[in-house]
This record gives sequence, C-alpha cells and structure tokens, in this order.
Amino acid sequence: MNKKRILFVDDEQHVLDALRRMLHGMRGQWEMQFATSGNAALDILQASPQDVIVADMRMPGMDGVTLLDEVRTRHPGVIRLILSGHSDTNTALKSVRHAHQFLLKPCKAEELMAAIARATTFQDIFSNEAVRTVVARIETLPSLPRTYLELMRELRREEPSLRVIGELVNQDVGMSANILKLVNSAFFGLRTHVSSPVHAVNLLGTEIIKALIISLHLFSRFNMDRFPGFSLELLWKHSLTTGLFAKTIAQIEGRRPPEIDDCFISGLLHDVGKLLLAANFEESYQEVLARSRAERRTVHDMEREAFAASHAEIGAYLLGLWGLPENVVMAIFGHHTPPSAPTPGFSTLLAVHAANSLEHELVVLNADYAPHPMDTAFLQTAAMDHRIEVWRKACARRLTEELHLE
Amino acid sequence: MYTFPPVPPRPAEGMAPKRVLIVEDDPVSAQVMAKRLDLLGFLSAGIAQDADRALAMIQEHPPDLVLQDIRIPGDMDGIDLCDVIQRRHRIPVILVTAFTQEEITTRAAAVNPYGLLYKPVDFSQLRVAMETALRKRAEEDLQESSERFRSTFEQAAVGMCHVLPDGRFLRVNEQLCRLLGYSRQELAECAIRDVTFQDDQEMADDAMRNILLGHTETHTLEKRLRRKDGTMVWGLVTLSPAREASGNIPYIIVVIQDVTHSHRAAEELRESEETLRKILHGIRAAIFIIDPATTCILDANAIAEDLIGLPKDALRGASCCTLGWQDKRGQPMSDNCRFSDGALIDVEMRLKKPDGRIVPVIKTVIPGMRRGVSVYYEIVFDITERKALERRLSIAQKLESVGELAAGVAHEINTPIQYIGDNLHYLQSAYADLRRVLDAALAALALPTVRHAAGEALRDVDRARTDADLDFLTEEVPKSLEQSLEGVERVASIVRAMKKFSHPGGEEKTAVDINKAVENTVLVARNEWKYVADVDTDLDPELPTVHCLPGDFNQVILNVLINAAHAIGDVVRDTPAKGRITITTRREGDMVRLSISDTGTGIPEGHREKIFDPFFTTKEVGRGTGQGLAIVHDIVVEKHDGTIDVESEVGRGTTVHIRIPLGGDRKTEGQR
Repeated sequence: MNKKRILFVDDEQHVLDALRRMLHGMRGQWEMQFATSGNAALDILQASPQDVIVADMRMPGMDGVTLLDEVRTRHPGVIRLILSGHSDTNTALKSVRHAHQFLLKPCKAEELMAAIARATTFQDIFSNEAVRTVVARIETLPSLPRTYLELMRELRREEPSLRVIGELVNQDVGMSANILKLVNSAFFGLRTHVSSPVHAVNLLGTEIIKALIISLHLFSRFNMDRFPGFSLELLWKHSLTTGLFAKTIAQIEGRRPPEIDDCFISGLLHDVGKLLLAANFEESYQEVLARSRAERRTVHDMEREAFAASHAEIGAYLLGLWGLPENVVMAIFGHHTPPSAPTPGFSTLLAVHAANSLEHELVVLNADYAPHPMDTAFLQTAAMDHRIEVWRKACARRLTEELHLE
Repeated sequence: MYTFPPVPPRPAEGMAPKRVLIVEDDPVSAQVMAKRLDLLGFLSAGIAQDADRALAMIQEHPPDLVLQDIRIPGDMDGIDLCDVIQRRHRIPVILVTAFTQEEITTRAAAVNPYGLLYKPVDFSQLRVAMETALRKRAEEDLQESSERFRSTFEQAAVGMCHVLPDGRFLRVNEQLCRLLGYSRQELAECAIRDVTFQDDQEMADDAMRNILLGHTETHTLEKRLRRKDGTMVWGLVTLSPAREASGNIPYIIVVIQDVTHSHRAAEELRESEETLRKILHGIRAAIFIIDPATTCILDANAIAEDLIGLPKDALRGASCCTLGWQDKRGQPMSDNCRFSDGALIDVEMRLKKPDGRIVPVIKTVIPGMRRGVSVYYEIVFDITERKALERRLSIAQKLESVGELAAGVAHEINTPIQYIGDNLHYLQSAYADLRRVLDAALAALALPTVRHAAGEALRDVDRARTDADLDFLTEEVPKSLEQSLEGVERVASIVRAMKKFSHPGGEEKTAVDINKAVENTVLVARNEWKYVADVDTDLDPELPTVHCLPGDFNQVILNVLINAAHAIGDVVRDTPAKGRITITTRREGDMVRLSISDTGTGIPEGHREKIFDPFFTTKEVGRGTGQGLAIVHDIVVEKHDGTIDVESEVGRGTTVHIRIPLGGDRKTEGQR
C-alpha cells in the first residue's frame, strides 16, 4: 500500500508544528506536508499530488472555503477536510459543499487520525482513477424531481412543517445522504452519530434547512433528460423498500433504535453508487445496464468490468468520505459480496444484504433481471441463517401494508 | 309652473276713511273741494297752496291721495309736482285743470296721473275718479306685495313650501328642491310624507294634525328628510297655517332649514366622546380625577378600580398620595404627585397595590376643568406587559452579544488548545520513546562487561540518575502529561459548553436534547454553585428531544439553578458544609419534566404567590434583580405552554418542577 500524502494548512505555525510532532508516529503510513497559507498549499498541490488536504477555515488572504473550492476545481481527486476552531453558522454552512468532512478544534489526536483513516479507507480499491476523481468531486447527490418539488413547496409555506420535510427527505436517497453528511459533521457538535434523516431534520430546524436548500442549493434535481434510459423512480422504490426491509429485520431481531436507524439508512443508501454512476457516466452506465439485461448478468458484475469498481464500493467510498457511520459504510460496501469471515451475530451489513435479496425476490419488476441470491454461507457463518424465513414473512407482510397505504 | 294668486286683503283694510291732500292756490276752490270730499266720506289731509308746501305736508304725513290743480304758483308747475309725488312718494295724484289746451293735457297725460278732471269738476265725476284712483292704487299695492312675496319665497335661503291639508305639495321653492334633490315637477307629484324619513313619519303627521286642528299657530320640529338619492338630511321644520278670512286653512306654510351640519356636529361630538371612551378602555388607561387643593380623588374610572384593586367608593375621598407610588427603582416617592408644577408627562413609576403586588406604570398628570372647577386628570397606564417585553428583548440582546463574544473567544481559545493538546500528546509518546531508549541503555549499562568497560563514565551516569531522581520522573512525568491532557480536555469541554449555551442558534424552536442542555448549563454555571453545593444529575437516558427555543431553555435552567445555589448559600454561609442540588429529567406522557431541588432556605408561605412577579426579590441589593423567576415563567408558560410547580418547605429546601410539552409536529399534526 502506498503512503497516504496528507497536506495540512493553517495560518498558525504552532498548530502545524504540534500536528507535525503529534503525527510523527504516523510517518510509516503518511507522508505529511504543512502550509501556512492557501497559496502555499496550492503550490504544494501543484508540485506533488496529495491524497488529503486538512485546512483551517479562517486564514488571512485565502480562507479555507475558497481554498477547498479551488482544490476541488484543480485537483478534484483530493479528499478535503476542514479543521476549524470557528463555529459561525453561516461560514460553516458555506463549507458544507466544498469539504467532505468538518472537524472542530480542538480535535483529539485519535479523532483526527480516525477521520483521515476513514476517509481514505476505500481510496485504494479504485484502480480506475477517473471514478475515484469523480466521487471525490461530488458535492451533492441529486434528488427525485417529484420529491424535490414537493419539498420546495413545503419550504415556501409560511410555516413549513419539520415533520413533512423529514418525511420527504427520508424517502429520498440523495437528500438523505446530503443531510446526514451535514448533521454528522463536527460542526453541530453531536457526540453520537445520527443516521435517521427525520431526526437530522429535527435537529437542524427549519431555518438551517431553508438556508441549506434555498440559498446553498444543497439539494438538486436529477436531470431525467440527460439520462432517458435510467428509471430513477424504480431505483428509488427499490432503495426505499430495501431500507424498510432492513429496518423490519432489525426490529424483528429486537435491535435498539439507533441500530434500526442504521439499518434503514444503509438499505436506503445501499445503491447510492448507482445514482452516482448514472449521474456522472451517463453513456457508459447506460451501456452497462443494457448489457446486463441482454446478457442476464448482474449489474454489479458489469460495473466491475466497465469501471473496475462496483456501485457498492463507489457508494461506500462516497459515504465514507462524507463521514457517515462506519457500520453504514461497511454495510453498503459489502451488500453484494459480504466478507467471508463476518463477525458472528446481527450486523447492519447482514440486515442490508438480506433486505436487498428479499426485495429482489419479493418485488419482481422484470423476470429478465438476474437474481440476487442470499449469501447463505455468510448467513451461516454469522449464525443467522435460521431467521431467514421469519424475515421473509415479515418483509412480505410489510410490503403488502405499504402497497395498501399507497 | 305655479301662478301666484293675489293675497286676499285683510278684512280690516279699507275700513278707515282715506286721507286726501288738496293742492290749490285758490282758497275758495280749495274750500269747495274740501267740502265735497267731506261729503264723499274722505278725510281732508289739509290744503297746500304751492308745491313746496304740498311736498312738506306729504313728507310729514303721507295722504292716501292727492287732488291737485295743474296751475299752481312757484317754480315747480303742477305736472312736475304730480310726477314727483307719484314717483317718489308713490301716492296717487288726480290732476284738476281749467286748461283744455291740447299741449297741457298731453303733458299731463305723460306723467300718468291717476285721474285728470276738468274744471268745473262735476261731483259725481270726482267721486268716480277718486274711487278709481284708489282702487287702482290698491290693485297696484296688491301686485307689488304679491311680487315681493314671490321673490321672498323663491330667493329664501331656506326651503319653503305650501302643503295642502292632504299633505301634497302645493308649491315649493327652489331652495327646497335643492335641499331634497328633486325637480319642481317631481315634487308636485309628491306629498310631504314621501320625503320624510320613515322613523320620523309619525312625529311629522302629528305636527300637521295639530296645525290643521288649530291647536297651535306654529309648530317647529326636527326631522329627517330623505333626499331623492336616498341620503338623509336633518331639517328644522316650522309649520304655520295659511288662514283664509273664514278661518279656513287652505294650506300650511312650511319652512325647512337644513340642520344636517349642526346635527352632524352633535353626532360627531357624541361619536368622538364614545370613541374616546372606547380608546381609554381599550388602552386600559386608569384615570383619576384629583382635587388639586386637597389631592383628594374626586372620581376614578373602572380601570383605575382594577388597577388599585379597590372599588370606586373606597377610592373617592382618599388622597392620591396614599396610593403607594414608588419611583422606577422602587423607592417610595415623597413628592409623589408633583402638583406644584402641574403637568407631569409620561413618568415611569411603580405602584404598590394594597395587596402588596408591585405594578410598573406610566403616569401623566394634566390640569383641566371639570364642571367649571379646575382639577387634575391623572392618567395611569399599567406597563407590566411592556416591561416584560423589554425584559425579553434585553435578554435576547444580551444572549446575542454574549453568544457572539463566546464564539469569538472560543475560536481564540480553541486554536491554542489544539496545539497544546497535540504537543502534550506528542510529549507523551516522545517520553515513552525516550523511556524505551533509556531503559535499553540502562539495561545495557547493567551488564557486568559494560559496567566494567564504562568505568568513570558510569559513575557520572549514576550521579545524574540520582540527581534527576529517575524513579520519580518515571512515576510523575507520564502522570503530569496525562493530567495536563485531562485539563486541556476540560478546558475544551467548558468552551464547548459555553458555546452551546450562549450560541444555541436563532429564535426558532428546534429539537433540543434537554439532558445535554442541563449538562452544559451545570458546567457553565459551575462557579455559581461549586462553593456551596454539589450538583447531582439524574437524567432519563430515554428522554426524547423537546421542541423548544434552545437559548431560552438554557436560560430557564440557569436561572433556577442560580436561585437554588443562592438559597443554599444562605444556609451554609460561613460554615464548611455544602448543600445539594439535584436535577432530574423524566418523560411524563407528552411532557418532559425537569425538576431542580435544593437543600436551601425554602420559600416562606407568604412569598410563594409572588415569586414569579417581576421585581419581587428577597435578595440583598446587587445580588438579584428579581427578574430571574419572572423570566422563567415567561419562557416556560408563555412561550412553551408549559407549567411550573414549586414545592417548598422552610428550612428543608425547594423543588421547582418545570413541565413542557414535547411539542413539534406532535402538536401541529392535528391541524393538517
């Protein structure tokens, strides 16, 4: 494995010196450089490629937000983190689009190291540089136009209801991912991870939600015209149902509320990589889909051929960059091909894997699609295979309930 | 178009004999003439020999007729004189002449005498001529009076009409048409009832009846008239009968004056009085009317009764100075009414009510007249609400500036904390590395061969080791670094708490973790309680987030916590003992309960009612403004629909239970 190249930018020399000393122990894995201004940082990036940039927010001359924006344009593959002692809401919100993660000073050594490690975990799985760059460049994920319009309508009301906003966000892959990225950033100082979009919306409050969506355009509409062959509605439906199934399974297994939330969001976001590929590689992805149908092979395999990475890995990389909880990222990463030696017992990954298979089994859209069999070996190792029947029944019941609701 | 019939002569007229002046220079002829007039039943008004004399007599006592000779002595001849008498004095003249010349009779005819007789005058001719002249004169008079009447009627500035007994208009004048907005033709087809306002119909009918029955000669009433366009005018209507000689009443003369304006003025006066009354009631101004000499309350309004809490009868006669005025700092006022300099405009004061409650007020005193006696009007506004608003605003402003400051300070502190922490962390690992090197070196030195080879140098090492007290270093260096790191973490958590406490984000209700708010507030206020009490928290780990204003809620916890600390401080003062503050959170259905108990002094029975009143404080000056619990009440009850319950026992302590609804969409769900 190559050494990670990490660039720290702060106008305070003491901060840089201390970081250099403190992280000296990481010299085996990291190659670190230090810059005292935005311009110096850009010079370093120009001279030698970097994997990660960790920048302060308030600096004389070029501030952190401007610097990261510049980095995103010139070196889109670089992972961008903010480490700031400043907590002015407006500036912080502005950084939301440009930075992958936001860390608050003072940040403990372990936290900083963990954040950098998490963001770079999946970097190496991409032999395809183009894919890696595209993922790192992404600021926001697009939403279903219908949901987007409904949300805008709600926000323009005199007194928008947080409940309605929460429910809308909760149904949308793109919006959920965007809002969770924000709420899990250190700026909001929440010591626990939040994985429920409804909860996230409540924590942020109407004013911040409005600022994010209306002024900062955190949400955008998926451009259907650019991609006529791709049914976003179907993907959304599949994602939402998988989320519901994963949640149902977690509930049956008597997990605690935070874990149930994790299962739902992992199910909802498990195919976020597909959205990403569809929105950024229109033509090649269209071809992937066409060929998978024609040759009756899984999209997953076809993606690997075309992009040297599957949507599972791509999605996990993005959400890892965005600082989503590790078990969520791992569940998405492994939902097609679970690891051969899992931890015994229940896990988010297990719930999502089972939910995804059950969704494909119970909701048959097209008989031509390749089946998604459950990895029984994985379930056996986890000692959960005897529960499959119970889950199937519960999910089927859940599905009929949902259909009735519609 | 109406025609004007001559007004019938009054019955008394024509009865008295007519006076006739004779102008004749010949005394004999004059005497003869006078004799004849007497015979004819006329009264002689005298005899004038010449024009001057004649004019003088006319001037003195105008006769009804002049019988005049054309040939008279003097400068003025008879024809000229006739012209003067007829035109200037409007008295008919009969000329008598002996001339028959064409020239003279033509000249005489030109001045239009009422008669021309030739001498010798025939007796019967004279009679006919005189009667004719007088009748003609009478007719002319009649004509004139009729003309005069018509022009008066038409040009009158008031509306006039003649109304037939059945109510129809006989004739109307221009002004009435204008008043009512109808044309003459239209009115001709109307009755007076048609233009009378419905509600006043009966009254108008009664008036007409009274006149027609002869009960009264004139009747004046005010009634409303309806114009053609439907609008209303107020008319001052005077009715009087037109009576024929027989006493018959062919029509009624009606004069209508438009008094809408004055009526409106009266109405407006009433309205403005009503408006004033309503405004005074609406803005809830208490008004006292004071006798300036004795300062006694002469009268007070209902709001004043409410304000003071005493009935009007109890207020009347009392001196307004005894009402318990205080200045705005709460000091009793000695010159509380300031009557000496009269007016007092918008002075902020406090009023201590008989029940002990204190109300902030604004007082204005203005001199005025009432029923001819000079009085003072004392206008008092209860400004409790405004004060509450000001208080709220000042808290908000304070919080905002504190928040900005805290965010700035936090940034300033966080940067050095970052590198102090990083450096300490580094020192920790560096020390561990050094220890490893040192331990290896010391182990090597411990080898007998090495010891032997080292010789003198080894002694230096041993001395340095003893000097440095290596065992102590080994023991203490890691500890000192660990404690420093812990200290840094504590500073960081205080800064974080301060930032969370003071900059909770906006005037919007959001989901708030009450447990975390409690922890932050306890940390921020540590200095307030740590010398007098220990704080225990018993926080419900399953507590859901509450939809509330985060900044305000922090303020609630802080104020109650500080009160608790003060209450304990009063108990443990000058003793080494410490009290205990316990903060509990629990979910109770759709509510969250936050209870803060202290082992302080407790609240005496008599004070429990008042603790939420603004300005109520038992603390010494400088320690409290008395606003703390008022603010808590305002935030919990007014802004969050919550409740506050206080349990207290003197000597044991106080528990404040604050309950607020979980809120958020749980509440609005029903509305959608």
